Amino acid sequence: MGDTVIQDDYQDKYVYIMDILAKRGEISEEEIRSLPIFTNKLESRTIIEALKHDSNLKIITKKISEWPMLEWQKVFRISP
Amino acid sequence: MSGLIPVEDLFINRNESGTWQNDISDSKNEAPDTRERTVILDEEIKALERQIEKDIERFRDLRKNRCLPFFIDTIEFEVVDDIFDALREKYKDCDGKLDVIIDSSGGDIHAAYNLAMLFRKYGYKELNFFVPRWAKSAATLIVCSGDNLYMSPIAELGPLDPQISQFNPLERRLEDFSPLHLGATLELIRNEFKAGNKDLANGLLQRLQFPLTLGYIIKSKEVSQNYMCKLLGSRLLKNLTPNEIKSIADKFTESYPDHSYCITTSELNEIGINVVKELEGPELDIIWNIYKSHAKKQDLQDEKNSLESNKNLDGFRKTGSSGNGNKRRKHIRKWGIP
Repeated sequence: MGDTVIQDDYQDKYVYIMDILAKRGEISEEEIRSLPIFTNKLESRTIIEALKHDSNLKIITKKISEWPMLEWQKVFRISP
Repeated sequence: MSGLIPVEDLFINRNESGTWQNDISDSKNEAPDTRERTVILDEEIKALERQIEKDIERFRDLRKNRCLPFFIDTIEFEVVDDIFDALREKYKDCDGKLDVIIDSSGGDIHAAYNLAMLFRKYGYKELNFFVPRWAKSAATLIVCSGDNLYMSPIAELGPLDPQISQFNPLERRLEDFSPLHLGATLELIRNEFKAGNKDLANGLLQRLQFPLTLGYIIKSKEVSQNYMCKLLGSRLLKNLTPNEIKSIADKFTESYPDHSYCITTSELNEIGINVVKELEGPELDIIWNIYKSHAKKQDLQDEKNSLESNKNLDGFRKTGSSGNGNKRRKHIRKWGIP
């Protein structure tokens, strides 16, 4: 798992998130951003973009609230 | 909003046999003030949700139309299904007049076009879009599909040049670009050749990878133009000629120097869309209230997330790190798979 190549500085954090994914099966962008491992927004954004290009992962847009104010979040899931 | 990752999931590690273990044994050891604040935040979030519902009802009573708030960061394929479900379930009594309050930074252009066509089905007599703050990029396409477009004095639309965000595998970094950037790059190379700087031009040319992909990206601009012409010409600007419509669509896809360019009501007038109405009176009051309540709700949600993260960080410190950036990074190395 983790076939996307990213800068060395981010590699540990990327692997860490892949570990969480391996354990939980899915993780949302919001959850990734809230992780206390990032020192700035660029780091989390870079890793999120890297995850989007990982062929082992599937991205789905998941509805998280009902009418009248529907809301969504992006979730990374391990491909079956 | 869904809950954050449980604390125990954050401190995962692999032991030598490859099985999972947690670094924190007592994840419930949470400061009382954090718990209290979380409860307060939950209550405030619920109060704001109730306020938004009331304002939607007020808007419906004022306009005598069914009203759908559509607040979304990124429009994606799955969103079409969810909106379709909501309309089928909750808008059965829609009499062909639909008001959509939209706030979005854009997203997938095909999903946006599909949504626009769906909104048209429910607003077959009259489809009105209300923009409190912004409807950028693909969301601009959606608001151009209605019969009327109402914008607050600070609302903005945006250009429709497709945006591509992808990794450059050679340089191992993230790149954001648009077909317009590719055009500018090719022009730069062309100019270097003309100026006799062949080595420089060749060097630049060799850095351009995947010509088929580049061709596809440049071509993607035409998709936006095509959708825009179809939507603008059939309702909002139905009195204009096809050439006039195409000229306006071209402006949206090619004329602006940056994808974030702020297109206000006066800018829309300048490019030929002079049917946009600026919101005022009670309609503006309600629309703005809904926008502000939603923004406030998101702020509170962020604060709640941040509290959760800090809680996680506290747990992290218990494992031996002082929590500052550098030490944290070292600690994280321990978690990585060798």
